[in-house]
Amino acid sequence: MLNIGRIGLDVTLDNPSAWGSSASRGRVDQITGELHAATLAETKALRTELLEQNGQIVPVVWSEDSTVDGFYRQLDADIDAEDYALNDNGLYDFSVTLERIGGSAQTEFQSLLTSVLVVNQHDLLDTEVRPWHSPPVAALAYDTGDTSPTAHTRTTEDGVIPVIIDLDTDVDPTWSVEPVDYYKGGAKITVGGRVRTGLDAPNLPADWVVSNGQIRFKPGQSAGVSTGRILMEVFDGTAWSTSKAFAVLFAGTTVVPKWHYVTIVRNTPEVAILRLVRDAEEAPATTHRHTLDIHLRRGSRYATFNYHFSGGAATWKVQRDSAEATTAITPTGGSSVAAVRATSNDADGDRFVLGSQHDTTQDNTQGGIEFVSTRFYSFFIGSEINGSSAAANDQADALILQYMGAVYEQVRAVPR
Amino acid sequence: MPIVEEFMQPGQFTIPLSEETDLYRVWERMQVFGHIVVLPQWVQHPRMHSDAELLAAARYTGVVLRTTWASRNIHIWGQGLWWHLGDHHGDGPKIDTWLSYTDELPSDVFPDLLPDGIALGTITDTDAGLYTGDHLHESCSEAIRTVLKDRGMHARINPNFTFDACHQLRDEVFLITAPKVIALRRGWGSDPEFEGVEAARVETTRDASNWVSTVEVLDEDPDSFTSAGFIGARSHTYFDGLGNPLTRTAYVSRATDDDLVNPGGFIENELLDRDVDDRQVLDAAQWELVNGSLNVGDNFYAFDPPSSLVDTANQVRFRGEFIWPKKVRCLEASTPLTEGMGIYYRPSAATVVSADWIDITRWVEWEERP
Repeated sequence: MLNIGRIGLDVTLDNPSAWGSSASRGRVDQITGELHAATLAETKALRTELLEQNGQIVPVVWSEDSTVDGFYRQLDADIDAEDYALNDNGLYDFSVTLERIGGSAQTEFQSLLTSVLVVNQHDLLDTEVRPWHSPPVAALAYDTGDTSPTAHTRTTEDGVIPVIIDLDTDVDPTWSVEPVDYYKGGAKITVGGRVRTGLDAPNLPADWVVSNGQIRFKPGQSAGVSTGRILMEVFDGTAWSTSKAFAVLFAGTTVVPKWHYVTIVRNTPEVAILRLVRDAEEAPATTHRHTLDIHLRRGSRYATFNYHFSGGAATWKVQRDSAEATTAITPTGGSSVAAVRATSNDADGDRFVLGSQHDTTQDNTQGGIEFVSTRFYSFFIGSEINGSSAAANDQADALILQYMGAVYEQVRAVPR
Repeated sequence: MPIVEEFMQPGQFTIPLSEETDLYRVWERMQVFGHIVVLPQWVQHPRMHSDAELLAAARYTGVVLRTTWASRNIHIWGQGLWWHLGDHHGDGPKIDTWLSYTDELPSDVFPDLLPDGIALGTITDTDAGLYTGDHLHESCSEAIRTVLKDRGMHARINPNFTFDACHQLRDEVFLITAPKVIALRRGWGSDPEFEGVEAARVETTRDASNWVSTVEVLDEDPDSFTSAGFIGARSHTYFDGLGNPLTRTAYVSRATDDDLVNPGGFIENELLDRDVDDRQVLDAAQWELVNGSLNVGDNFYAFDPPSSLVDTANQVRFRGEFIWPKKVRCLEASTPLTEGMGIYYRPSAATVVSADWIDITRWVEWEERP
């Protein structure tokens, strides 16, 4: 088994034919081999995703020689396609150059965080919101200096993930993780059934998934065509829940029926951002376009959505596609309703949460919120997993305050 | 880079020509003090348009100051149109008649200070207040800068030789209040509301070489050259090697008379100009900036937390996430000449029509896109 970053995680990567290492001012490894999978589609996926990893920090794990395991920066990748490349199951010769950062003994990571109170209309102050951060599953030696944030955990399909809440906004925490755990609990984007490593992906607006292992979002689709809906599923520790569909309505009444383009905007384990674009051929029929960005962080129980309409100001509504009664939630320290939360546990035992930093009108019958006279607005959709039995830091009030303490993250590798 | 534009400075340009340049029809006809005009697209027959129309559509106009032909190296070098007001040495058109103003609108002052080679464009007086001051025996550039500093204004010379000015917090001349461009080290790209540009390199510099503790205005009266009595000093915590408070004075000459009131705003601006300069240099490729998305003098956003390019009071939604970029001003931009542009020589003459323009586009050595 060989993993170079995400390559090899969902489609097996064969053992390399050669592995050369050279060291002058640093160590550079060159791996050559063949990309060859069970199907032609999987072989092509290996090729595309290997190329897309250039420039990234990648964990490398090789079952035949654990002494090479560690963290590298992929400098370049070369793929040779001979005339037989597309025959049968496909075959590409590859060569990838990796600059070694170090093994888990000498490498730790620093999350460069910028955290600021989201400008909001609920009178929430920066002392009342709850910025947070998650390293990967199984991360250890998490350090925030001499501050005392709240340590919490959540369950993902990859295992238990630390969630550090009430972060001091001046801190850039450091943490360590084994290469084999680097992506666990992280954000990932799947398009066309393939986990993507970079920004390149086919335009399949009806076939994508943004997930962090505990909450994921997919497109509503009918006969392979986008219906404009966004589906949410959550992981309760054992299984994924039934999909819960949300719709965006123009003028408060007309459902945005379809998305035309899907683009990966950012694809890192700490944050994944997917962009949906729609031509306003209808709803309304104008020479404008709709843009919806879906932003999902590692460790989060909600995704942030940013909607932009290039036409004039209008009323917009985000709601459950099938009516689900909700209760308005005013967050601790807030002066007005910031979210709606399902009144009762659903069949999976969870309660969805839908909120925004903007002033909204709540529809507690359908389960939605309405934005008046605007062209762009932000909101979040999340879940109280385990509903009324959710831990305090996973309840709607906490999720709102975590959302309002927005965090921008960049990760870099540093020597220990 | 061929064209270097600077905020309220002449800048410079270099046009490299190929060794196949037609010596008779092109090279020998390009004289100093003519102008190089860069159009965003090549116009095959410039004579189909008027001289004024072409200048109005120009991306850049510069004055030719040097032509070089050495073996296979052929270059045209010059500076931007601010050169017509005065250069770095203080040489240029002069104010040699005593001009005195008391509580005058800037739009009534600039026409007198502009030389014949630059026409009055649009002067917006809003928020600039009234100007009081005197000018004599100084370059037009010095006089104009005095008025701009005194009134908190900024200005631009357009490629068609017109001069625009407004208060520096307003948008009439430059894009100030609502930038449209964001420079980031990572995650750049397009967005509905902004244009993202990759900041390939961010360099942070702190420069104190121009710092002074005091600015003193000298009276440049024809009969005397003494202190006008207007001194501005800043409080600071810097010391020299022997523990004395650091003292450095800049003398600024202004023509005054006995009735001059305290030019308080001018002195404050001089002190600001001569403070410790915290500057960031971003290498942002301008390939992505088309059709005036970002021009020298415009504000833009820069976001790179490790380089302290952050303003937590400025929340912006960009490509699906909240960022907090710092608003910075573009003070200098280097623009390459790329294939597709039109490069022309406009002769120096009492009257110029478009038929006089020389199209040198086909001989320009273009820069490769990175």
